[in-house]
Amino acid sequence: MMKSAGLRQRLSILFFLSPWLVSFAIFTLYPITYSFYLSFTKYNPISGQAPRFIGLQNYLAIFSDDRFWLALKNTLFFVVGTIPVTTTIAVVLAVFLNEKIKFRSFFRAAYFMPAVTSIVVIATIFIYIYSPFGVLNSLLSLFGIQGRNWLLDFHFALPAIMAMDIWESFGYYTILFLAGLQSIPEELYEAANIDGATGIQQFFRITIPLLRPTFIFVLVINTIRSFQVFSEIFVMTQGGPIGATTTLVYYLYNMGFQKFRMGYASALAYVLFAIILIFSLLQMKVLRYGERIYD
Amino acid sequence: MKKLLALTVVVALFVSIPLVGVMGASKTKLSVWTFWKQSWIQPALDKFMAAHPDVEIEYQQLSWSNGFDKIVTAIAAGKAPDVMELGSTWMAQFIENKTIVPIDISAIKDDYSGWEGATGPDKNVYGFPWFGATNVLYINADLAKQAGIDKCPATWSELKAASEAIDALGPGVRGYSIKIGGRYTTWQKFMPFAWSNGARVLNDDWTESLVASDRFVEALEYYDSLKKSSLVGTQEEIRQAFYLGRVGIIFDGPGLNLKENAPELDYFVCLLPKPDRPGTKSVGFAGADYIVVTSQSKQKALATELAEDISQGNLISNHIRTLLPFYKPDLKALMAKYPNDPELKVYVEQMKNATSPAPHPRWVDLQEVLTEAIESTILGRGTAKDNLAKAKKEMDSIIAEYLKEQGK
Repeated sequence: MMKSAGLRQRLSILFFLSPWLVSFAIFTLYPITYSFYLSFTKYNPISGQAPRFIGLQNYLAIFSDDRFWLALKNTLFFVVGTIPVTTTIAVVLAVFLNEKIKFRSFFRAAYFMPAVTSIVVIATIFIYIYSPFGVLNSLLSLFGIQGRNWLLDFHFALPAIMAMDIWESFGYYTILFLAGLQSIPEELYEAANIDGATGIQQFFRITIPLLRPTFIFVLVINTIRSFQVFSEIFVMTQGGPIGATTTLVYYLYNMGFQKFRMGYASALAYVLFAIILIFSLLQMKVLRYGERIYD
Repeated sequence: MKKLLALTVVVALFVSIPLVGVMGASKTKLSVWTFWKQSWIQPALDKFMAAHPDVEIEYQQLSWSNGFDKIVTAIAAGKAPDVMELGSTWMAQFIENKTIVPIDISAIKDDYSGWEGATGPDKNVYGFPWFGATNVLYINADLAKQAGIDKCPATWSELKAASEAIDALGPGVRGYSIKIGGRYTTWQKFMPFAWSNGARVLNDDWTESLVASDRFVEALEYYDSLKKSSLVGTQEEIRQAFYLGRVGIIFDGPGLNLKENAPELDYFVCLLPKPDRPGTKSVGFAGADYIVVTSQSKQKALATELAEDISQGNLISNHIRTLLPFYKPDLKALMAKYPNDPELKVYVEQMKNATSPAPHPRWVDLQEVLTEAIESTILGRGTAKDNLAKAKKEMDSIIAEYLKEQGK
């Protein structure tokens, strides 16, 4: 009797989980496994022929592919250039929005707005902002600065997209930090006040250390997201000019869906996966170092 | 447990009802995918169904944003439509992979133009030429008048002079416009200059790139020399600038759509100017769309008949008349319908000498290299000669790799 009740319970759990489980299996697990297999094959989806196993050839080809290295360089530049800025702005804003200021709710909602707006819409609007006759150049001309065609400039195209990305994403991380801040017990600040700690000291000695879990979460999530930057590139520059904004995922898309080299594109995806995994593990290891002190 | 069983039965019932429906159908089904509204294509569908009452046609309009991805995934899944529209840029890959089937054109060869773009390396023809778009020069009439230009520039030096004269009108106005960016724009806007100068991307048997030839370099150097008086930007930026009267000359096609986007603008249309050297002619770019039958179709004979019907009757050109039909009687009818349209006349004239790059199966890679050489030059990263020499090297290795794969 006991056994059947346990089985029934397990079955009903499975039943209630099944909508997610089924969609996960079909739309995530299967494609991931299949693309891992594809990464060892030569496969052209429009040929009507089955994938042909070629061993490690795709992986070996990646390392001698100049365009891959350029895409990796661009992606690393994007990651290293955006994450520190986004995180810093988000922390500072979160602290500011955590104070009892006027119109606090309005500001919280306003900063979060870009995060709930479609990236395609944002990118399209920024195309106009960055265009030769766009808002940015008009603003610069007020200060006598000569504008340029930002998205067609070899040196400025990627930084221009990065600036947009920072603007688009910091609101989301601000909310995460805000949640982290509100979980810090008020008593710690009261005790620090009694001990005579200044505001700055409290920020660096209490706030920042106790935000550590939030930092880990934000950095890891933001790193994964930034390594996968695609939509902005697809909408704004299509990887140009002269490959200046070709990131790894855009390159992968180009290989898979424009050139139909699905095997190679799958191998690229797994190389990207390995890179992201290494970065995430490193971040967690470094940031968790010394965690116990504050437990 | 009983409830679970009951639920399973209900779900199974719902799933099986459509299956019964399918099994009960007796009509032959043909599926057609194009990028246009069904109402535009309907006359051909009606004609076909009248001749074949036992056939039912399932029409789907593809979106410009993801229609191509839809085609690719459908083919990979073995669910390709019987008949579909394909742009010239994709023909080579689809022919190489035998995704589409050859058609017998012996009886209709002379009725159409534009077979080249549908012809594979095996000399078979893989689709009906439907309509083609070329680019012509649009000139802002007000700016031209202010700059003292009263006729079409016919040669490269006249074009440059016109561009400089308009550019000199003031800081807010540029003369010519050089479009770069994206996958196709950069090379499609430049190549007509190279073709007009007698240059080509590949040699006849596709074993070598010719982009480092003197004629090619000369064309790119000339194009680059226009830069001083031109607006350099993406297709969209330049179109916007032209609508607003901020650029005097634009090399564009039906997509410019001035009637809708800038109805107040006064303009005139010209052929692309040719090099000053005697014996040259203005050669435009011909982008074409084809109606093809897929190799997955189970009704190839019927599908081919339907494809032919769609390729005739000015289904698209009746709505956008500068998308010119390849079916010759249709072109005649179109010209007769609008005898006094100067824009149409220039398009037809430009289309006569228009061409497109050789449909090499690795064109996707070659166009990327070509784009980089042109963009590098226009953006001031190296000379035309150096960039094209580098491009030739890269193209030759792409070609060699392809030949190796083919075992040649």
